[in-house]
Amino acid sequence: MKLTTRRALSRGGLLIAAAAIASTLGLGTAAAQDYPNRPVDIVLGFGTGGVSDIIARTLAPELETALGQRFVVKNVPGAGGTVAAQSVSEAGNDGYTLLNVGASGPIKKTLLPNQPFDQVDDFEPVTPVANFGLVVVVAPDGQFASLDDLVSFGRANPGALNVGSVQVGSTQFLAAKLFLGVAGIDAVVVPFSSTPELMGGVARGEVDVAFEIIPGAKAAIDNAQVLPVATTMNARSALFPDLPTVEEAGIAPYDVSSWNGYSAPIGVADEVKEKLTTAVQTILQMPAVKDKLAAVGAEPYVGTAADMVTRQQQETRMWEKVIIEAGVPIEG
Amino acid sequence: MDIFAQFSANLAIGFETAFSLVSLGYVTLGVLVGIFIGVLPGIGAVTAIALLMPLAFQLDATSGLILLAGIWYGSTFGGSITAILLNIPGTTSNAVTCIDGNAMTRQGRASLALLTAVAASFIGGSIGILIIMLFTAPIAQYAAGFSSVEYFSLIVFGLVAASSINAGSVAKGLATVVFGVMIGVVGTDLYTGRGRLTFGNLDLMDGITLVSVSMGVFGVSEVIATIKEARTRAFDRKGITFRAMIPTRDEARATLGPILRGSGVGSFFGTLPGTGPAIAAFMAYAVEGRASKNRHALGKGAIEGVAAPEAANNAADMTAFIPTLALGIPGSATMALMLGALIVNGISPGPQLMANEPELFWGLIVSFWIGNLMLLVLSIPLIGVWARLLLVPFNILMPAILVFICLGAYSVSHSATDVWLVALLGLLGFFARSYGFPLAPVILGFVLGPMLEEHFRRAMLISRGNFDVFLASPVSAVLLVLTALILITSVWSGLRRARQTASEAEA
Repeated sequence: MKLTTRRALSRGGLLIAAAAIASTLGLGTAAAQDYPNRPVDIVLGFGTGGVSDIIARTLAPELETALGQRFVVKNVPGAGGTVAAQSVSEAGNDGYTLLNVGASGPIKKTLLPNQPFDQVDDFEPVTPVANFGLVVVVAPDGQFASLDDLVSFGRANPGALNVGSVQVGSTQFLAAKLFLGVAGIDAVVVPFSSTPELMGGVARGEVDVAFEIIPGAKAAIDNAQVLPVATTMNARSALFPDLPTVEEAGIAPYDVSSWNGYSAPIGVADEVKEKLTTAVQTILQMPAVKDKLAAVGAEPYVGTAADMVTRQQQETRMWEKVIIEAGVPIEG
Repeated sequence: MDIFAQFSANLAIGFETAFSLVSLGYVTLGVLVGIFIGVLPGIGAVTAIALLMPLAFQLDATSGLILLAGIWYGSTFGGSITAILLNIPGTTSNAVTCIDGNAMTRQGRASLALLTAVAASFIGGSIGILIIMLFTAPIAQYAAGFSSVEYFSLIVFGLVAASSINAGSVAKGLATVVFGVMIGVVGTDLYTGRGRLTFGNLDLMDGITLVSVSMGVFGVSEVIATIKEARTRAFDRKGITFRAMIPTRDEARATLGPILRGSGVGSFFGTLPGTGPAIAAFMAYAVEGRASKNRHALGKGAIEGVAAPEAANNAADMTAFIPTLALGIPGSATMALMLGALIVNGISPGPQLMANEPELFWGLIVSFWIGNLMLLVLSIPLIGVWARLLLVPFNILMPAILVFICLGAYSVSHSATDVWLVALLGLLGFFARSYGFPLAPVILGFVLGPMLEEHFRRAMLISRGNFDVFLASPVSAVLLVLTALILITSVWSGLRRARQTASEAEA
């Protein structure tokens, strides 16, 4: 109830201060109980058109139906998400302003130790939203038809393979580095500036294999431009049930996926978190929503705010190790 | 005959879709919004499309795309109006048009320059559309085969070919290209993830945007120049009458070659992801510098210098849809947003798109043509109105332009740093132009320099440092030989000129 108190005091006046004290004594839970009684903002740290933006715009009208208030998707790009994080941080922890967070949060904790706002430490999870598995793709008529082919070639010919990825420090890049480390393959990781260019690079054989999130690779896979050979989670992807996982090919332990969820500044009431999680999780299971997610290559992230906390901690540790071993530069 | 029958069947589908009342409405809206934001310096298609994206999400894929595409090519035309009248490019694609377009305005030929831009845009756009209709599949296949090696050689070729833009001092021209390259490398290095020239600033990690560079260097520096000269720009009022718009027979004939060459160059660069209409316009201008009969007048208000780049940027706007739709490779930020409008509707762009979604593909193409026709029909009667912009007192117009430039720079990534950069680059641009440095090469260096580095380093990374790859690819080898030929001929003609001057001096 820290925020209620602060807001009340800022208005001044003893009466209101008294009311604030009352609210800290328990009346505040009533405020959480009738949540939401005004519109809720979902703030994204990037522009329109991306997969998390599409998902937020899919969820917003359903959340409005379920909770009776408008959910407004706001795109606040700038400084790698810092501008959005700052605006949410200033808006407070009453649950009316949510920040879209994701797999980059735990990575940035290590890569950008001096960033002014940290998705993991300065915010707390409210509800998980979607999982974006990664997929390993090769050229459709190239020399590799399976992950086994690729692994045995890579082990027999150290330094020969070219592995494509998007920018250094992305989940995809680190997933490729982690794969090479666990599989014991010496190869060159070649960064590309965008996913479509990367898919083109795989299709024409510039690189032998690429790691990309399913939403990014989906169009190229649908058009048979590239051939998927494995997915990267520890269970098979619902979108590619016939594809083996990397672990099934004997490269273990290996469980990587990208994801997103909504967080808020620390101190959100448990009732608010539960209400939002229940609503989001119910909506994610609606057939129409599930279809929309599948169309962009995403799957519902089933879980609670507490699951997201655990995941952020696990991934922070996992990626810190990969980042240091791979020698990715840290902007300290 | 069979191919012809299929082609006309496809066209019929396209006309049916594009001539529905809804589609016509979205085309009109798109083109009008496009012209409007094109005229405003700083605010370009990227900003407008990003703002309208949520609306496009609510529409079906065809309507959404028709609307966004109208904004895209409408803004490229609209941008030429400010370039010609005020020497400030409305969009980056019109930067080259400033050179001769504004010179024409100062000579009292503003209406003629505007008419040339409209006509060139229409013809360029139409040729681009024809190329999409006939050759999308083969071009997409060919362009998809371009690896880093071919890109590197193509960019080297382009940079050398475009060096002819600079008529003045070679050293000053080179200096501005290098300055463009330097601001281009600011940001995170693709291959190591390290920040370069960022001075620890998080905003600079994302790099400097093209809007900041073009609006600073061209826009703000022009505004400062206007203040400095405190000129009222007394220009020939006859220049804005309807009669002044009608070209003489010679002028009409002089534009035909440049328009056709510009359309060809533009169509080619449009199909290559990463280069886009701005570079297409530069290249078309460079081609005129070599191919035009009237090349010595370029830079001094030659009608060819408006016709070629304006045909090229509109042709490139059209053909940019080839890699976007047929390969799913967006050539620019704007095209990436359009892909988003497709994907949100569950449509996968790629080689199957033409077969799976004929209504969308052919409807879109026919809508392009309607849109271009509308640009023509809407613009010609309005030329006199636009030209009256010159009658607005400069002490009102210039501050307004500064505001729009700042808005445009800010809206790209909601960053105040970008606005400061516009101011800084504007000052630098002003000093550069005061000392006779050509400004156009800054954009060239800014766009092509980082691309050159990216492809060179990738080619080296993949070949493990073996330079032979550049000659092993036939496309790359031919381009490098052509580059060498251009260099040799320009050095040779330079020497000959020097000898001539020397012998004249003796005599």
